[in-house]
Amino acid sequence: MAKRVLKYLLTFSIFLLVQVGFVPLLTIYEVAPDLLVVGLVLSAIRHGAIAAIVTGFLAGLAQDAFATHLYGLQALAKAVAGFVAAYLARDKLKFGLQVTLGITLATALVHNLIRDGIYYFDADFSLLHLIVRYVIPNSLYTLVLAAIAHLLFAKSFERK
Amino acid sequence: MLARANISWKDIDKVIIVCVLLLVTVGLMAIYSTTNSPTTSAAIRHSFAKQIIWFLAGAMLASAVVLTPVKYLKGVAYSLYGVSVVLLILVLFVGGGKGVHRWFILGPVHFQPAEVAKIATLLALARYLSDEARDLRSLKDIGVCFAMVLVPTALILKEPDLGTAIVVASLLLPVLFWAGLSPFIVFLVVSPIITLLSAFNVYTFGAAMILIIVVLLLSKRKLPVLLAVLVLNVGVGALTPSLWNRLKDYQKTRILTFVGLQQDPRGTGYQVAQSQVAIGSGGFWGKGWARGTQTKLRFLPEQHTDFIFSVVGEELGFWGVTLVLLTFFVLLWRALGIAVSAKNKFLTLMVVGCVTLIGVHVIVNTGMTVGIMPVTGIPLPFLSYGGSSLWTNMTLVGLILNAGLRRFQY
Repeated sequence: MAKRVLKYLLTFSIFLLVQVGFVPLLTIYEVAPDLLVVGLVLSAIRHGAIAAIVTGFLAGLAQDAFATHLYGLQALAKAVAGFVAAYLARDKLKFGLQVTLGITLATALVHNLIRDGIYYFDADFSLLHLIVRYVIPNSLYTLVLAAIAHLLFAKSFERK
Repeated sequence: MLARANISWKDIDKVIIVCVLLLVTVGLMAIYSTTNSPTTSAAIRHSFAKQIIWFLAGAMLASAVVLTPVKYLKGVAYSLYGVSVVLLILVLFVGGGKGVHRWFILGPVHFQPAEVAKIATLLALARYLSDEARDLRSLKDIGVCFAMVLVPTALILKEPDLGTAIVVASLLLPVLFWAGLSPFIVFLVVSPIITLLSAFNVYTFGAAMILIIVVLLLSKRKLPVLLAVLVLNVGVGALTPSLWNRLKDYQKTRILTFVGLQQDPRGTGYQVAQSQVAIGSGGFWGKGWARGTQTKLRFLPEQHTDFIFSVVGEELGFWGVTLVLLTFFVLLWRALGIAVSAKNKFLTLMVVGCVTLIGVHVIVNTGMTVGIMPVTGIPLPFLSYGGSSLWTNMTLVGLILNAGLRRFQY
């Protein structure tokens, strides 16, 4: 078990480093994908709700360390995202491209709605604007990343 | 997932959940009141929003803990303990804080390894004592338990963080007692401490001696054993004042300040005085939510963290304070009910540990705000502002609810 936890920590550390170091370079008009959400979907499919929630919480907290304020926000969004991904994946037996992308899209939407909803709470625009301008584009961008990941590492998206 | 393990969400202890929600709500009200005044900085005004985020994240964490099968909790106990000890050593070298080494500071995230150590020590102790091979008449087994608790306690004291060290150390006797350690041995450990504290006044010393003699007589042990214990206690009591008088003034000051009995009138003494004024001025009904003058005019220091109980006392009055204390009582009572009914020894010991941790926090924090306990800077569970503390307490509640759901499993 300790070996598995260690493997997990290492994988998510790499995801985090890529997310913090590389993903900002892919940002287009403030729209960026979230690699950690893809990692969470992977963990939810392979190991279920507990692993996904705890991993989401810890990965989010680590991501918060790179944020400037409202620490805990990524931890909350990613813990909920982990739960959503595990809930959607709970009865599925096969995880083809469509199923995986469907789960990723729903997870990313919930994640971005919580994160951006709280982050831009004081901002001077409507909920509709928030969803159209930030939540949906960020989720779709994450979906593209998930599709690439699935095409490259299809075997990883299988239940353990 | 729960259905697969033959347990149902319907069996979850809803009273405990209601208690936690009530306490968090009172805490949020108090935090809102303390952080929303024209004199507070923008960073402090964000505290209310942050606390809500932390609570929601903590609720997710607690849900994950509730779902976790017992074998995983047991399996992770020793590894988590090992990691927490390593982190406690590391924080002494690279940790930050105002003149202390308590926190790992990573950008805006301040992570306190002592919080992890509380849960890790509790799980490790419960796992060790739940092993069938343990014999609590064996000095070796008791010694291992003492070492298991004293190592993190000593490291936390080194940070220094007296409050958290007291909390971690407090785990030992209740858990050992619940595991089957003879009450007489618990008494043997506790009685010299009582004697030591009471030895400075002839009346308190006399009362302590009478209490000790009564307990010794009721224990019905052999006469030589009783005499040995009595002599030990009288010896401790007789030597304490003379040893104390031999100490140099600066040594006395250091000890008194360390245990919080000597208070700087501009520091901890000021805090306690203002806290007492705040609670006293609340009267029976309080001054009303967000109308506390001590709070609004910022006479009360650390009001949204360690002294939040005083804010409740000032704004909600006696009834508010009673409501908070009663809610804690109901929460801990229900948790003890789970400990009593749980069939699995690991679960029952784990719940007793959780009850001890939450209970000691409540006693020390509320005692500190009314001036009958040293100011050690430990937060009031679920009410005080702070992510680490809230997440630790939510995890403890998760462990209690987990045990409640699986209480009939062996």
